[in-house]
Amino acid sequence: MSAPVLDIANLSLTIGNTPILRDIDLTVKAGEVVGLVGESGSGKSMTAQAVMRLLPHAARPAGRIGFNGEDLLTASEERMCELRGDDIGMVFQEPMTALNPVKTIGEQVAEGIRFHRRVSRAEAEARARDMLERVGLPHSRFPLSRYPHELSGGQRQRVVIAIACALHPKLLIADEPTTALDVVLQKQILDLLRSLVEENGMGLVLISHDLGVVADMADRITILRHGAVQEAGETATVLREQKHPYTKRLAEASVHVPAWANAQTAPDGDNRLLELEDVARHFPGHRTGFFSRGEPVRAVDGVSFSIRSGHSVALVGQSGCGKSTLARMILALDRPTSGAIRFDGMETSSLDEHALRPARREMQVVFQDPYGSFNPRQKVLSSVAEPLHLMDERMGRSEKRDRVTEALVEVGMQSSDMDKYPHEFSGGQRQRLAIARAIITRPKLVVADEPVSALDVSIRAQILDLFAKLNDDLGLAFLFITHDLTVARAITHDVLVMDHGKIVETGRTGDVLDRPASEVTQRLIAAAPDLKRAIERRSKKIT
Amino acid sequence: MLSYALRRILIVLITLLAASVIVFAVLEIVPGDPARLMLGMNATEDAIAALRQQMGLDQPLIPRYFTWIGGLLTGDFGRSYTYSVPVIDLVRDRLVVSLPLALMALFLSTAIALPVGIFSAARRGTAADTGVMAATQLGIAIPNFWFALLLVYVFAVALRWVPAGGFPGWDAGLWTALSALLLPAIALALPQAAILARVTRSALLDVMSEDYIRTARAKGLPANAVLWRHALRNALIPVLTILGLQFSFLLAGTIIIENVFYLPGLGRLVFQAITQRDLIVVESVVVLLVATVVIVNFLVDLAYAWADPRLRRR
Repeated sequence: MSAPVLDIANLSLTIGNTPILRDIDLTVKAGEVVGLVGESGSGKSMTAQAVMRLLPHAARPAGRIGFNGEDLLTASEERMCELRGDDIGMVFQEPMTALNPVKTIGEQVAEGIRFHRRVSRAEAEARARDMLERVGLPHSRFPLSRYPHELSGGQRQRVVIAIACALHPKLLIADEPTTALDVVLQKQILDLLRSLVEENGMGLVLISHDLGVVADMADRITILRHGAVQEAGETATVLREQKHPYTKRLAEASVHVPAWANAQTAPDGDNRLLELEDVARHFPGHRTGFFSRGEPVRAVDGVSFSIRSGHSVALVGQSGCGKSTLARMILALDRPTSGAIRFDGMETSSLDEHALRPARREMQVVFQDPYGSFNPRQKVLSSVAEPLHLMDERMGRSEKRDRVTEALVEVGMQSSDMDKYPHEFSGGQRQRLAIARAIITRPKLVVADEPVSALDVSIRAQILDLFAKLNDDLGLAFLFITHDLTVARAITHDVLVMDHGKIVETGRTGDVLDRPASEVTQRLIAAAPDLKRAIERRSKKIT
Repeated sequence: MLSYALRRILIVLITLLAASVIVFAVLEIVPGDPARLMLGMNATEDAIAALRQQMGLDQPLIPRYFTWIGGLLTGDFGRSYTYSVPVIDLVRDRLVVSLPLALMALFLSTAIALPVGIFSAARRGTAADTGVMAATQLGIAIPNFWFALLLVYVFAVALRWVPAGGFPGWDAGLWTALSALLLPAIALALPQAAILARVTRSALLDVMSEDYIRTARAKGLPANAVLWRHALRNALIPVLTILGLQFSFLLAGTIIIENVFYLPGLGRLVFQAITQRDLIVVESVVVLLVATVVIVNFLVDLAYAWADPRLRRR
């Protein structure tokens, strides 16, 4: 076997006096995919940045990062500039912000080519065009003159990959390249990365918190925790045998299904809590001239469904299918262009803000990002108590504290937490706080927009448990908006599949996911990473 | 892009129309007879009636507005009461001093602020950065009229490099005229430069922590190349906003500075016109200043679209 492209030995790193990485060993051979797995704060990204030597100023690395025999930790900055983008490429997590908004995609892909190869602009642009074609952005539809804001998230990630792979690097580091994308786009991007590995024989370090993705892609896997390697080896062996307790915990958490008493025995009856009738929302089209606009965008196009009290319903679909627009209308944050929305006996789609108060009290929301949904300068008490102003009776200070305590205990936090600030909590704890805020008015419906997709697998399992408990104990109805089918399977009775503004399939969650009827659902299921399936496939390949 | 520009022009026209109505209303409709006000307490009724007729105050309101606005459009601003010459001539004579002064100050403040801001951002946290930022703090704190006096004392009185005040006119030669404007321009520009440098620095630092800067670094570009090629143009957007606002401040600032340096500019004209209650002159100059500010903002809007392609489709 040839010498490894990347050979990290005893890599340690401190920031100030805090050790971030401890004795990391990692090797990648040409044409090999190595998965680097761990939860947030485990040091995955810091390891990648150490290889690129794009660390925060205060970071002090030690050890050795061998790249084709050369130690990158002792290389000069000039030498690193030669290597970056030429021999070592990197793809980042957040495609929406990874491209410069004021430069065309052509400029951004060609820039690295011109810098490293000293070729003419025309030559660099020709190569950029080829590379964009290679990543699935044909020149006829995506000319070099496009700006990033004219592309979707998946398309932008392709541009980032084109930048990273333009000069056929020997090593590509992909840091959570698909975490921000829906499952269908994720599969496309992973397929693209795999084919680039096979074509060019490059080594790929795939960083992910998703065991399913890594099991599917990686030949070997390294599991990190608290900045140290827990286990490393052949992907199939490591994940099948699960010898290390932490590996076992991760694997179990990622296929976790909460104990949920109401799962089979959904409360029956014809009590329709929420009812949508032929709801549509159109947005004005782009300007095409001074006075003219293009065709209106039909974000939501004739949607009808209902949710009964105490039921948990998933709304699934690819990004851009209209899920979030629909959710905004249900929450009465936006009004439908046509159609009616009835909630708890009120026609919310035609009420004014004052008349909406009782409805607002009865439905609450939990957002995806546990970091962005709290005011950092407000104590937990004020943030969680916020929806109480919707109650009719004025509430005294002590009563408010009682209500907050009750809500905090319900989500597994302590009453002493109410006097802390949001930054004192981890992402998972913040999501609990967000849920506490949502249930404090004792609502009948909670709309949760991708409530676990930003969380680590173990935290995710806990939050799913919490949702199950709240449904059992309080009889809350849920609408989960997600592109993650495992969430739908774990915690919902019924599922609605949405595509291009329309509901294309509905039914009991288990039935729909096991026997999908529509092409859209089939595509979603096929693209969803599945840990068990991936391990089986890998094991077969080896034997 | 063309349709963006056309829509901006439409907004400029509407703003100008609204501004003209407001200026007209304030000076003509508010209580008190402008003619009586201008002539003072001891004026005879005949003199007031004559002035009322000269100002067209005996006409009904709406036609008077249209006469006035029509006059503005054709360059007939009316006659100054105190100077007894057409206002347009007065304004033109003064504008050739004030406009070059404001432009010079704007140029100086940009020419100082951008390099200083970029320098500071590129060396964030170093002693040089701290020193420069402390200096800009001082630049903001010093009132420009006091700084103007200091400049006069050092460069005109002590060193005798430039005149202490007055304006010889452009006929005296380009260099002579410019050197008379130099100190006032520096006095005007310095506080603005200090603000602009701080804005440039913080905008650049904000941009430097963006994900796309990391992408550019991962391409192999050295840190400085990334700053120039990727960060600067993104950071220009807040800088342009401040620059547009500053031009208006510079125009207003000329009133004080022209008095300090005895420059026969627009600022002094307005100042004198107000003390002499020459409302026709005040009205005309105010409309002119409003028009200038609106047009500068229009240019800033165009510059936005140049800097940020996302705005071009709005």
